[in-house]
Amino acid sequence: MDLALNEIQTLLQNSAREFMEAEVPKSKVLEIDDSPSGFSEELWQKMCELGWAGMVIPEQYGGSGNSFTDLGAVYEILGYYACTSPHLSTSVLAAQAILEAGSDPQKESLLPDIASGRQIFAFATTEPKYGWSPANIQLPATPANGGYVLNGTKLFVPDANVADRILVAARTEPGQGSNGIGLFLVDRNAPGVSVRVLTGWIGPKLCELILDNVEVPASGVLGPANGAWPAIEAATDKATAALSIYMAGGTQRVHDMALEYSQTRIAFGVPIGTFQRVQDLVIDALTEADAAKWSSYEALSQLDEGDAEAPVTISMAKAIVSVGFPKACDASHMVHAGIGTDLDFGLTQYTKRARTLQHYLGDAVFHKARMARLMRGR
Amino acid sequence: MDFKYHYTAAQESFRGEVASWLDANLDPSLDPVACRYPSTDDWPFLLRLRHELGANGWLHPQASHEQGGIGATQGEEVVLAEELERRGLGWLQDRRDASLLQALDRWSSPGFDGEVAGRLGRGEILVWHTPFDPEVPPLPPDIDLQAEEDGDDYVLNGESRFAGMGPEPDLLWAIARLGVEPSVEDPGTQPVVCCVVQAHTVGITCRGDGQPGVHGARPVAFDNVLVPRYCVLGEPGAGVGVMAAAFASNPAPPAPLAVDSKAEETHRYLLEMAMANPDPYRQQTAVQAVMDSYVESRVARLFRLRNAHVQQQGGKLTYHGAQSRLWERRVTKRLAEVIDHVAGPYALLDRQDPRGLPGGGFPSQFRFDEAWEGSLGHWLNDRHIIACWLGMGPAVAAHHQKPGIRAS
Repeated sequence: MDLALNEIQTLLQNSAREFMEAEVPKSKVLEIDDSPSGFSEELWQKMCELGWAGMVIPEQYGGSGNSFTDLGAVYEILGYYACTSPHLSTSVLAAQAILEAGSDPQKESLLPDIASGRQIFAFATTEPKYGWSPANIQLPATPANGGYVLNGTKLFVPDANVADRILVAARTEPGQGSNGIGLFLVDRNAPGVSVRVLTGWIGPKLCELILDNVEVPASGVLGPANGAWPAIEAATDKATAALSIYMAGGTQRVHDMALEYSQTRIAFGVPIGTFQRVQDLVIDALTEADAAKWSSYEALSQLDEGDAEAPVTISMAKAIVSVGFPKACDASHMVHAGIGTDLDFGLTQYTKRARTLQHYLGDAVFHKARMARLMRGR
Repeated sequence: MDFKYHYTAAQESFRGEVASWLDANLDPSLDPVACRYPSTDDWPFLLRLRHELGANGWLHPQASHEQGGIGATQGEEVVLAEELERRGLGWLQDRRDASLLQALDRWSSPGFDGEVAGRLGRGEILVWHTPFDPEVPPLPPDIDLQAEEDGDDYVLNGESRFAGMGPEPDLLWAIARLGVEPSVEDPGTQPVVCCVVQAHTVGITCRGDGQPGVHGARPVAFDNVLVPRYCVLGEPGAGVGVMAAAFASNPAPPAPLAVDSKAEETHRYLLEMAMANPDPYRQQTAVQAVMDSYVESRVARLFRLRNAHVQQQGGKLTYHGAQSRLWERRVTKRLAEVIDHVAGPYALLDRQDPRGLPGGGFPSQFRFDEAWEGSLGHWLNDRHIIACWLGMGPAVAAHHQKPGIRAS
C-alpha cells in the first residue's frame, strides 16, 4: 500500500500548479468560457509545449509514455483551476482509440500530430437519443466506394468546433448491441460536415455535429468496421478515469472556496464558519472531495497495473464524482450565498463544469448499472 | 500508487495460525452476519469463545503477557482483526478495554485489585464504559453522574449511559462531576472524578436490554453508591483528562484494509436478489440502490487505506478519523436501507424462519444500524471534530451549548 504520488508525479503536479497559477487565473477561465469557441489557442499551445498533449502516447509515436496516474496528477490540478482545453478529447480519448483500434500506419500517421498538438481530434459518440451504451449509437455508416458514407447527427460532442479531425462512432449493422459499430475518421472541413456550438448553461463547450453524406475512405476506418466497440470502450474507460480526477480537483476547489469564505465572512460578529449549519456544508463538500480523489486515483492506479477490476473501479469513480462534484458545488453555493452567483467570483465556473461533466462519458446512473453488469459477469 | 494492502510473510503466517484455530473451534455453519448482533441465546457460547480468545492473548494482542496479550505487532493485529471480522466476531475485541488497561497501568492506586488488569486482558471480566470521545471530551455539565466526597471516599448518584458487551457487566468505568451544581460561568472548570466500580455494588442498577452485543449504550443508575478512594484513577478532579489520555494513548483499532469480503458478498447477494425481481422498473431502482451502497462501502475502505497510509508515512491524522467514522456510519445505514428496499419484508425474518435471508442475518443489520447511534461517540461529535480541524469556529460545539442535543 502506497497512496503517495511518486517523485515524477509530484514534479508533474507541482509544475502543473505553477503553470496554472501563472497562466490560468480566474479571469482567463472566464475569458475562455465567454468566448464563442470556448478555446484558447495560446493556452493550448503552451500546454503542448509542456509536453502534456503526448503524455499517454507511447514514445514511438512522439509521446512521452507516461502512466495514467502521471496524467492524473496533472489532471487533478487542471480540474482545480477549471482549465478548459481539448486535452481529454484529443490526447486521451482519440489517442487511446487510435492506439486500441488503429493499424500501425494509422498510428504512425495520426498519433505524432496529436502528441505534438499540431492537430486536435474530437471524439463523437453520443446522439440525440443520448446515452453511452452501444445501443445509443445508431448513426448509420453505409458502405460505398470501398469506404463508408455517414449520415446523421452527433450531439453533445466536446471540442468538435476546434478540432481538425473527428473520430465518429457509427453503426455498420443495425441493432442494439456492441457488434456492428465502427469508428470513422472524419475531417472537420470535409464536405457535408457541419458543427454548431450548443448554447445554454454549459461549462466546456459542447457541439452538434451534423454529417450529411460524409464520405470516409477505407483508410479512415479504424479497426474492424463492425467491431470497434471494444476499442471505443477501452478508450472511454481511460478517459473516464482521467475525467474523474479532473472533476475531483474541481470538487476540492469548491470545498476550499467554501472553507475560506466561511472563515472570512463575518455575520453577527463572528465568522460564519462557527455556525454548525455552515460547518456541515463545508464538511460535506470535503467528504465528497476526498471520496472523489481517492476513488479516482484507485481507478488510475488499476489502469496502470492492467488490473481486471479496473473497469468496475473506473465506473465507481465516475459515479462518485458525477454526484459528488455537483453536490459540493451546491454546498459551496449555500455557504457563499449571493456572492457565489456573481459570475466574476468564479464559483459558477465550477458549477457549470460540474453540471456539464456529470453527464459526459456517462452519469452516475449509467456507471452504477455498468458496475452491476460487470460484477455479475465476473 | 498502490491501493492494495500487501501482507508480510509474518502476517500471513500469523493469519494461518489464527484461521486454523478459529476453523477448529467454530461451527462452520456459524453465520457471520448473525454473529455481528447475537441473540441472548448465543451469549453463553460467545462468552466462552471470548474467554478462549483471551486465553490465546488475542483480545489485546499488542499488550504484554502480564496484561493478557502476546506482544503482537500492529501488522499481526491487522490480520487478527480481519480474521475475526470475517467471521462476524470482531466486536469481541472491545478496544475500550485496552484503554482501561492503559489507565490501570498508569493511574491505579496501590489498594486496587492487582489481578484486574490481567483478568481484563484475558477477557475474564466484562467492562461497560462511559461513552467517551478523546477528541471531544465532554464538558462537566454534560456528565450525568454526580460524585460527592465522603471522607476519603466518594458517593455516586444519578443515571448515565454505558457502552460495553454482555447482558450485564462486572465493572463500570465511569466519570462523575464532583460537586452539586455545575458552574454556569465556566463549565469547563468543574472537577470530575474517573473511577472503576464493581458493577454489583449496592445501589447500582444496570438497565440493560438483555442483549449481548457491544454496540448499544445502556442506562445504569447509581443510588448512593460508595466508591473507595482506591477505585479512583488519577488525581480526583482530573477525571476527564485521565480518560482522554487513556483513550488517546490507545488509537482506533486497525480496521481491515484488504478488500472487504463481507461487503462484497452481501452486495453480490443483494444484486442477484435485485436482478431476480420480475418487475423491470423495480429491478432497475433496486440495482441502483445496491450499487449506491456498494460504492459507499468501497469508499469506506479507501478512507481506511488513506488513514493507514497517513500513519504509515509518520503523518498525523487530523479530521480523517472522524470523517471515516461518519462514513462508516453512513455505509451501515445505507446498507440497512438497501436491504429493506431489495428484500422487502423477508429481510425482517430471522434465522428461526427458513425463509430468512441470508441465514436470517438481515435483522441483525437493522439492529446494528440502530445501535450505531447509541454507540461510542455521536455523529455530531465527529462533525465537530472535523470542523475544529478545518479551523472553523471555537472549540465548543453547538451541541455542548444546547442541553437537548447531547453526545450519546
